[in-house]
Amino acid sequence: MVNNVMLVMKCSILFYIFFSILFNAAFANNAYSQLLEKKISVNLNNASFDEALNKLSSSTKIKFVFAGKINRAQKVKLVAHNQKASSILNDLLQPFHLTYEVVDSSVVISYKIAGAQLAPQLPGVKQQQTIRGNVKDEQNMPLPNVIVMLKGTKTATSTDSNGNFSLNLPDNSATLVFRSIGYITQEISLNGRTMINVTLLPELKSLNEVVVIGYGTQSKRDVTTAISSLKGEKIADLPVTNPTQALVGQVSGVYLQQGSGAPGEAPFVRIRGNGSITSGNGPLYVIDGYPTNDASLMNALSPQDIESIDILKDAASAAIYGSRAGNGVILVTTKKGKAGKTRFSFDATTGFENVMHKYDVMNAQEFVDMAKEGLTHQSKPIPAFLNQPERWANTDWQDVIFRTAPFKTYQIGASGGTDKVQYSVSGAYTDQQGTIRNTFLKRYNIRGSLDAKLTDNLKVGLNVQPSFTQTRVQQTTGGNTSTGVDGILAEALTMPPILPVRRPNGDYFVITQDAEMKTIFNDELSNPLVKLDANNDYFNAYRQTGNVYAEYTPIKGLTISTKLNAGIVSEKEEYYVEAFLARGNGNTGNISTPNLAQIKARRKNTTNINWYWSNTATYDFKIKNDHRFTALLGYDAARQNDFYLTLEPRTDKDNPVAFVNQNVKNVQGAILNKGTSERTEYVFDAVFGRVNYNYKSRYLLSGSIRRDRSSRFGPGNRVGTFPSLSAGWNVTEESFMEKIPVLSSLKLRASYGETGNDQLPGYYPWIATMVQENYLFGTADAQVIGFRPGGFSNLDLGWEKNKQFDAGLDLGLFKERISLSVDFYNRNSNIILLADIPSINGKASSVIQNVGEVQNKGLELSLTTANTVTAFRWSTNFNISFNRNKITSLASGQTQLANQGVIRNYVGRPMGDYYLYQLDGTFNNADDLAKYPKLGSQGVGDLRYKDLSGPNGVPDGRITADDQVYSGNYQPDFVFGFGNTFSYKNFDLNLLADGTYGSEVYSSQELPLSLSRWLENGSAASLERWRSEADPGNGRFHRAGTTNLSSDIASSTRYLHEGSFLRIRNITLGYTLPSGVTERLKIQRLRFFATGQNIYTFTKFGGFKNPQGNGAGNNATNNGVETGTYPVSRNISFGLNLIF
Amino acid sequence: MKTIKIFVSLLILCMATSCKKSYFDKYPTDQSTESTFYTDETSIKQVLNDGYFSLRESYRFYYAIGDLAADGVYNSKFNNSSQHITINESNVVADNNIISELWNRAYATISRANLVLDNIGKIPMSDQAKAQYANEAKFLRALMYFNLVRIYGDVPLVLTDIKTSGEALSYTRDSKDKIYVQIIADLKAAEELPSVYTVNQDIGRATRWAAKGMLAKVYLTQKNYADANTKLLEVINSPVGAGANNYHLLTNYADVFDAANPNNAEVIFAVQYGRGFDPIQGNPFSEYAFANEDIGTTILKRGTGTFLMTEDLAAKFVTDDQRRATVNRLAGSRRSYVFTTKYFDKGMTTKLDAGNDWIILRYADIDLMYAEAQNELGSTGVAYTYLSAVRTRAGLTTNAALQSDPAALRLAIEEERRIELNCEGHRWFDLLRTGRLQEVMNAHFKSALSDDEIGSGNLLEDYELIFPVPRYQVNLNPDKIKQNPGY
Repeated sequence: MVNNVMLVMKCSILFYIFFSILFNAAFANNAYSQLLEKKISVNLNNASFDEALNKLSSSTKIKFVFAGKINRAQKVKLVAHNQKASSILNDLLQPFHLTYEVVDSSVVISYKIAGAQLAPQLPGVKQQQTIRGNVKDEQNMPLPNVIVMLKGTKTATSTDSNGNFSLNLPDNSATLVFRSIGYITQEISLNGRTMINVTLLPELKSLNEVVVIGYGTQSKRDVTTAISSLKGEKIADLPVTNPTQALVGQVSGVYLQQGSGAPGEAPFVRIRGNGSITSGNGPLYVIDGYPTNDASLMNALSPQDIESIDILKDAASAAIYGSRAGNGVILVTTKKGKAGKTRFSFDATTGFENVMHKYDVMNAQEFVDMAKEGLTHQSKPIPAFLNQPERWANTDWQDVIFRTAPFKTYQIGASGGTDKVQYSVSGAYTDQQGTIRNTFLKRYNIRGSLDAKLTDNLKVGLNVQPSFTQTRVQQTTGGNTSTGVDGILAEALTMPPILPVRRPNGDYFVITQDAEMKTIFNDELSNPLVKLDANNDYFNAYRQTGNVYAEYTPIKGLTISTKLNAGIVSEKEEYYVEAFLARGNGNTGNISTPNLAQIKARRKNTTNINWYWSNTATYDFKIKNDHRFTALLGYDAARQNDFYLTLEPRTDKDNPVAFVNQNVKNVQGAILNKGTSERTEYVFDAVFGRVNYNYKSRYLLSGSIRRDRSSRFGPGNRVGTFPSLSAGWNVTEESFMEKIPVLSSLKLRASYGETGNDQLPGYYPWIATMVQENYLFGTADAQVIGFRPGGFSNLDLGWEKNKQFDAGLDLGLFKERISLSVDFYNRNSNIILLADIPSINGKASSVIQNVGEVQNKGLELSLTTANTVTAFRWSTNFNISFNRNKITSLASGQTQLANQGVIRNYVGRPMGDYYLYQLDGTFNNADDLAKYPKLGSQGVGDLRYKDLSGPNGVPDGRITADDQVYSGNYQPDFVFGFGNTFSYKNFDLNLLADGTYGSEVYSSQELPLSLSRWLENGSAASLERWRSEADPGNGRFHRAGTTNLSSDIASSTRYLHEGSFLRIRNITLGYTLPSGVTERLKIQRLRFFATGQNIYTFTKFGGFKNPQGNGAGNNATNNGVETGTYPVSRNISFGLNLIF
Repeated sequence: MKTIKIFVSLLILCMATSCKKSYFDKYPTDQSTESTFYTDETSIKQVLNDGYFSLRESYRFYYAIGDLAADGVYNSKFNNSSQHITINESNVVADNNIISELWNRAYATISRANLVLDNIGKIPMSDQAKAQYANEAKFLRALMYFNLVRIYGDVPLVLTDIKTSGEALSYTRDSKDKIYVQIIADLKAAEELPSVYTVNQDIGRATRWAAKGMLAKVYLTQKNYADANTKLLEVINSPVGAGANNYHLLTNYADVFDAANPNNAEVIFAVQYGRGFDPIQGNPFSEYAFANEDIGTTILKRGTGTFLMTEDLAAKFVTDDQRRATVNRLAGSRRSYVFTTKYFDKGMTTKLDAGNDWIILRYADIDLMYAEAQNELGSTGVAYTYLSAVRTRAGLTTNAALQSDPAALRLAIEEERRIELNCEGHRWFDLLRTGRLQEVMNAHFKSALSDDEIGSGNLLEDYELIFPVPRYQVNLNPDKIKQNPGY
């Protein structure tokens, strides 16, 4: 039911017609109108349409004119006693999707098309010319049901399913008017032509757009809550591999943090701020009616398969999803078949990706100068190698790990159907090779949907969309001396550029394996290429959501629907580290000298099997025509089973072989070192109801209530009740507003709602499990078993609740050419906190509790303007969102959260304040050293910090933790997006930019690049370093070769930067072949396009220029430390869309 | 009306078909939970076993106070570990992770002890078993409070399992005196522990001798030499022969620490590690006490460099000293490293898989403590004998003049403890006990050692004789938990 777009469109048209009729009726004042008001009785059973019409005609003396095509086999039942003729007529016409209009001396019956008066050829008009033609939309697709009318008359016809029409006219000098819902009406003067082809352009924003609201749909005009919508066409062209990336910059109220640029990596999603500390902050995804917190299910969808994304932002709209909707809801509707001729589509995009911005590091000569300078500072001799440029390699280590990577995505589909059966099938393939070597994403999607009307009141359907994703990942974050396979980026940035990548014999060059180099350079530095090659870490994921549904309409207005979803997410990791891994700590491994002890192997399998059963009954009814109600009642139940298994075979010298490169080899020979397995289960159910009330589309009221039960809470607190109430006032529907024609629509909205959050860590967060630890006793070691509580139990754990108030307005000016939505909200979350407890309890440092409160207040603004609506069309969308986050309370007496390092979280403050030493330049001479307080031992050329406080709150002449003061916050003041769409003739151009303003970022990626005492490469910015008293640099870089590195890399404002950025997110230029050409090619539409994603970032933040780059996007309280995640890629692609 | 009837009946159907309440009672199926665990004697013993296991963590950083903060051990600065460097250089701040680990882990062990004591009453078992488990728990608890009180001064005295967050927040710091009263009470109860364990899987549990020895150390710390003397003598006179522990000095010093020889006759109580089990069973000190440079073998190529011996201490091992066998020297490209081999397991095949135990109390310590008590009680001659015993085992003679010079003997005992018990976590606490800590450390900071071993210009100030309470524990409960002055 939810998914049936056709039905939805019909409904909305129906509503529109309904109101048109109401209005028309109000002003009609002629004889026939009066005749229609006459009360009559009829009793017809199993009659034909014509019989019924004749009966009405005879009873009312009204002459009906009708020449449309209808299913005349359909039988009519018409029973009424002493009712208005108009009402009986409506009852007759409704099932045939017909409407009527009083025209002069007849009542003209026509197809329901808004604003059009379709008349048959009236008798007595002279007919001389037959005008033929074809109407298409802006995508060159035929437009059926367009009203074609001779201007100034009632002579009209409509286009057929291929967009063709013919009309007999007195002459060919007239002007034709073309009208269709959602399109701008066009007038074309024939000027003697008898063949005419017309392209209708869509209205920029239609009030009749349908919005998906959860267990149903609603006309945008009637929505009383805060919902952002994005149509599929805004997603399909972008060269992105998941739908979430496509949201960036396009919707208000949603903050998307692209933490990593790894292939397929989706941004973290925050709707109206962070409302949770311990629970998840991600939204609930509802994919074709299936609710899930697993973002990967949404991101496994092919962007081309998406019909629309609707984001429920306020609690009133989300409350119908109660328990899990506390962080907002993202409703995804995938494409369905539509009745009509089979439509084949083929989309292809191919291109390449590059690292958007490389990190600017020192070149070979600059590096050597720095190295010598450092050694001189340390009074150490200069190694001969540094004076022998002829022996230097000139390696750009970034070029070693980065590459230009191909990008491909193909999609093929077919859809169509009859009035009774509609289908849609598609297959897609995506191959995104990462910009870091040995990383990729490959995804295969298939999708099928079938909707069948079995009888007039029973409909069934099926929807399946499995996907298979394979990724190879690398561990980019980590330090440059890491001994694992991590730290790729830090290594590539700090490896001396004068060292080669490989040895002449093909071995990797490893400092610690070179007798000479290991005495010169930091022998803990690793060659990043070794790790990229040695680390085989593959994830294979199979994801499937699918559902069957039945929809029964026993009586008019009542729809009973049941839907069963079955889902499987199965993810397998295969991890194998090769024997040639030469880690920094001196291992001998290399290609010619494999070290079997380096082999590591692991297999992991996580399977989630779940079902979800949803039952709803929706009843639409009217009281006295003006009072419309939609009532919804539902029951949901779900169960999830998670199964997890890891196998780690022993891979020491004696058992070197296991799980080699995904091909199982000699598993029996490997002793299982470690194997863990876990099975967990989660169940919930919910009863819910909603009533929408609509008075003449003028006053709107909606209320919902939902009761949820979740097994994730303590036995006494499993039930949660979530109410909501919202109201809207379409001011422009008031008669007094008609005097202001500029104002085409104005709606005021207000809502309040409560939603829950049960995204707690694990399925049994309320009870501590016993953890086994073995100990050894004896004169010969013998194991004994020990057990301890693995945490702190809280049997009273209950729901986390969000209470949100929202007030908004939707404004349309100049026939909706300018439309503006503004929302203000105040969201208070009664949170569940992993509240820290004094460690004297000896069991855990924290306990999960229903304590604490978080507030998010915000303002969102979305503005869409049609700047020009001529042949050159230009429209603009601008959105901006301000969110102010605050921790209003924590556990009783608790003033801050545990993380006491760089990032702190205090009551009364937003989450994630930075507390840092304040950089105050460098110690330039001995006088400075004597004069200023020091952090530990520091010398001339080291960074100097301000002494701001001490144990008693006053400067104490020492630099201690008390001198780390508030220095900024990771949350931006506002985020914004700015999109422009241009089209002229067959060309179209899209520009999209987005950004954030007012955040700070602490760059821990910079730490290894800050000139250590060992000879490591540094950032090019460090050319401004302290060199001598006379040349102290810019005061931000300590001297090369310092022996007090820990003081220089202490957490200070030296590494804090402005995080504001503006990114040119996308530019797409398209060209659609003219219809003449496509007709010759026997295809419907062919469009070529060139697109660029992540073109350029304007920011003061250096390095890879991704201030959002960190892996902590899901962590609201410890975000904002940039850790050297996978850099964002720039994508340049070319593609085509073909429909035939 | 018909439609409304259908609607209402649907509503009733919804309610009727909704799941039963019990359907939502989901418990972990793979693990037992805290509320269902304590059922029998085995469960009590398992929690107690975890108390012993927990000692590994409680003592993991004991060396950082006992040795690193003192003058015999340093952290090679090349590892940039500010946690270690600040302790090494006497610049500790309240944020130091090691300081908070020591606090947290001590209370973890205390919590296991309290869980045993709280739950043991409900479980049917023999009175003998009940008494033994309770006394073992008390021994572990006393051990932890003794460490806490010496490191932090006043600390919260937790004697029952904390069940709610509010309860945990209600504790304040109790006075040192009150803690010592509890330590002595617990150790006195532990004096009732078995004298010896005969089942292999029990050897290494606390014995009455461990309790008496620790009690003696507590008395010594309180300068209660008479009671210390009594308890030490009881250990010295512990029964010998079949079915007894037969405590004595081993002939060969290095054998005491041999991974293949755990719980030998010199060991009274130790944290147990083993080789060849899950890697978690191996001791981490093998890696700590090794240079952070690639100068080892493939098995232990490089350590963390956090537990290295100062040249100053290394020089104390005279040529004839048998104990030199446990001191290794390796030349690196940056410097020459000296470190103890007490924690290096010659039989290990991967690093961290070292079976050597961390000895908390051994017979040589008893001998030297007895010498100390006797000397303070005026029996310089007896004291001299016990000092000589330790030196004789090391292959050394003892200056006879000391027999008549209590002051010189006091220093000789201190010196002997420094060498004999090197890298076993004693030095700081020994000097703290004798009141010589500042004098010795400030001389050390002024000595002509390399910059890598000591930071120039450091000073051990008065307030630094105890360490700061972990900053976060203060922040969490600022009204109840006050920071030590100076931090």
